[in-house]
Amino acid sequence: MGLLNIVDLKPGMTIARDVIGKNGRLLVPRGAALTEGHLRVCNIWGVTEAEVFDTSRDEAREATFDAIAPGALKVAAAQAAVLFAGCNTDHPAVSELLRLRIIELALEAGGNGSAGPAITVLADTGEAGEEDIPPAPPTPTALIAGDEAMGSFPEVYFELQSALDNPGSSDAHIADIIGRDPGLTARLLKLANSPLYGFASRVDSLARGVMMVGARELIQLALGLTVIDKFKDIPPGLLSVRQVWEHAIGCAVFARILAFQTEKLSMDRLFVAGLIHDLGLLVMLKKIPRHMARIMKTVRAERIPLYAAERRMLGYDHAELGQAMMQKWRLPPVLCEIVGAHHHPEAAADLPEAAVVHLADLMAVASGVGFNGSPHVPPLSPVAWDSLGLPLGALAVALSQAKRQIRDITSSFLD
Amino acid sequence: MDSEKQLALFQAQIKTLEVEKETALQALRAAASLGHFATSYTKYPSHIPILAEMAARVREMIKLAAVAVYLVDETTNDFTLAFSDGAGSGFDPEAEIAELIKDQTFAFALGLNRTSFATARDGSSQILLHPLSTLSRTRGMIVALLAQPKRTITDITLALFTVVANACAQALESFELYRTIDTIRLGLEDRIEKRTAELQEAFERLRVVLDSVQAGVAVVDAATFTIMDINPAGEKMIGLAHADIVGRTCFESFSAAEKGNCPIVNRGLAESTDEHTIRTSGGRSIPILKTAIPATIKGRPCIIECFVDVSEQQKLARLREDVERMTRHDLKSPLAAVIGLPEAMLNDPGLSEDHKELLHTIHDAGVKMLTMINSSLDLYKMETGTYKLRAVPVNVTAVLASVLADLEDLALSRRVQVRIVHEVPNPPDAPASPDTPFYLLGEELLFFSLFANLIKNALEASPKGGEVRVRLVPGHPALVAIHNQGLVQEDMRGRFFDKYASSGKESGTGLGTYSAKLIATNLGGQIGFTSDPENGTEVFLRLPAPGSEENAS
Repeated sequence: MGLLNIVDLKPGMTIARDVIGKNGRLLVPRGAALTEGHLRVCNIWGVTEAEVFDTSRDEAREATFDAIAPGALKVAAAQAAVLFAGCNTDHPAVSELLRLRIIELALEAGGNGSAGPAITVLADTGEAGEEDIPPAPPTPTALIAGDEAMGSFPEVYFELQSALDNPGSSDAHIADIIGRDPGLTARLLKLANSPLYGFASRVDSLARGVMMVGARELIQLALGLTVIDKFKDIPPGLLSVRQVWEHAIGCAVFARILAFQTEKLSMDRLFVAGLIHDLGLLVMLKKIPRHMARIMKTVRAERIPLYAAERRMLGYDHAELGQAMMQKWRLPPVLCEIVGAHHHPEAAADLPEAAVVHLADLMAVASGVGFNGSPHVPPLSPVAWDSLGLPLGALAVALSQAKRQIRDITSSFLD
Repeated sequence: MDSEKQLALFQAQIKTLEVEKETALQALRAAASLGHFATSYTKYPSHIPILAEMAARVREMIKLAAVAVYLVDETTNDFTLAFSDGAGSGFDPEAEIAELIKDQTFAFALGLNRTSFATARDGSSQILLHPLSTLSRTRGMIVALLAQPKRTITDITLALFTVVANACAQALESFELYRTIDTIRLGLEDRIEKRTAELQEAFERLRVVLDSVQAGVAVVDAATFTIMDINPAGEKMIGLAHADIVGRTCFESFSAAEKGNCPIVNRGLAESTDEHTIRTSGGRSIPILKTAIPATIKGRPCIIECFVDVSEQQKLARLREDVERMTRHDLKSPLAAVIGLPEAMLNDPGLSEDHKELLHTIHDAGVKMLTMINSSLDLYKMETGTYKLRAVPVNVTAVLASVLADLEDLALSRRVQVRIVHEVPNPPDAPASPDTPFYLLGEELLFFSLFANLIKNALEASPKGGEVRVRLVPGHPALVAIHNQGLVQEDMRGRFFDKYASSGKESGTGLGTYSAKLIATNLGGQIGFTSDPENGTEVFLRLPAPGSEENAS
């Protein structure tokens, strides 16, 4: 008997516990022999796992490897081992992500006919000599001080934010605020119309967008894009802009899906948080590229998480820097905290939300979406995992759902 | 900023405002009609018109190559294709959603209350997904193929799309609810219809019976004595239309009773039958026999009046009497000649003895016939209760002698002896002999007829060679008993004295014992009989004798 991922369920298996869908729908009763129809119904209603009599979870996991050519499997396992190095693979969730990654890699290799490396190989800038690097600013505040672009954020955004926070504000009032700065209106509209939204919808006027759509989400999306827009001029070489975008989008999509699966968290807010969670990393890449090059080298050599290498060298990490930056911009405190806590969410006041971005970041790396400067999956916070209350089977489903969403967003935006 | 740039900016702002205004108006117009689907949809036999209407509306908002609607099968929880258009687009909704279901993109879209998009299997077309759900229940999914670039769809449009989809889901729910209620209603209607039909049938049956009976039937309100309803026969009798009779009181219509003296209401009778006449609208009097019974209709005390027109019966009876009287009278007239002419001819001295003898025979037969007609007339009178008895003391011994002389031939042919026995009181006043006078009070002719009938019957009933014994017992009343050794058949005993009762004798008219009983009764006496195998049959008569018991003592 065992709890199996939805993808591991096979027709003919006998259900050991009622499979209940959303709204309390009884989808498959205990004792039923599974049919293709049942599996379709389970997928329709978002079932991620089900308990069967026939086999255990471990047996089912083993069985998934049986279908793969041993050679491809071996290569895939070796590649995944590097990716998950320094990760607590004893944790069931990490172990599950590792297994799914191995399968994915093996199948990709099988499909391509080769088992080529799937990890982005960083360009060696050759600028990593210690003697050449001046000391970095000692604190996040010092790092961002004195930079006009870094230190300010459009005033209208904050007026808008406060108007939105005031339940007495009318839509006309919000439109007035935006209308006062036509330049900003245009920029926000341009940003808002970027397909990166994931809604793929066009906003003719932000004021009308405020009226028709969830205003808060719209502004937050605009914010996320504004932030990223500031880092168009990251020096080439260390990381490609596209890789950073992809990782951000990946994390945003995973955050949205995990929020969906928890059935209680705001999908839009967590999408934005996912999008800007590595704001600090972008600042570092722009301001102290040579330090970053050395940090990345350390990461690869010692197989330690990026933030750990940053802390060792700078005394602070990109999460802290990002939070400091956002606080300076007077962005919503919840958002600041989520970004700041994405590597140690157990400390965050809004634990489940911080946990979502934490896990989303981890999953984006684990599934090889984009690149954030580290070839390794960051360690999972068990407290964060537990706070979400997600079934293990949700991971495989999230990966499968994210694959399409990330593809849809990146293809319309980046290609 | 120079003035040229400023102008350009203003122009751009005006243009934006114009577009905005137009879109806002459009949105308002759309919103006004989108929010609800016509309630008449609930009258449709299926939900397809709702889906078709929804598809038509969303097509006005977004260019769509094809629209398919999946609905939840509540038994299997699967999504099944309920509606699909745009067949020419090459859109295969089943294949598309199979893919979307597989990686749970479908499940994700189902969990959103807004539009989401997914790339189609061809890798370029965009599929629009929108769930159909109400607050309480997920009902289905709209799956459409976009015919315009995704990014040209405005947020307003998408928001309106959601309004339409939600309204559609609501309409589906209403429809389903309506169907459920309708099913229940139909079931109830069916039952009511059946019951109504049964009641109608029962009512019709009753109505047909009431309408076709010849008796008048009327319902009278017991409180006001007004007629509430009357059947056609009643209308005909009274000679007024239904509407003219209803509302009148029963007293002015068909009741003999006075107000305040109604036998049902005032005297509390459970049934009252009386005979009287009603005056018709044409001024004619109709004799009726009316029965009234109390009843309750719709909780109100009523009287059911049932009356029969007896005028025809009365007329018939009178006619029959007239015919019978005339027949008898017409028979008597010719007899005057039959009796009178032989008497006149006998005065002719030239007649031979033989001829005289023949004339006597004719005369006697005439007289006898006259007597018979008269007695039959008397019998008729007795029957109708109009006979007036002129009772005088009659010597029955002499009458019996005459009877026996008449029946001599019969007695001889059946070899039956007739014996007259005078039973004397104990101790006897005088020696009894067959010729001893025995006086009874009545008319000689009636006694003759009475005894002739009974003795003739006894002779016929007696076994051959037997004896018929006539006992005469004086007293008040006196007893005359006629005994024979025969037995009255079992089936005859109960109706021995009934008119036309006959045991199948060849010459039996069934009138003998009947007229005997009539005469006995008219003489003020009684008649009865005993019959058993051991003692044979004895018909006994208790008749008044001259000198009442009081006088005698």
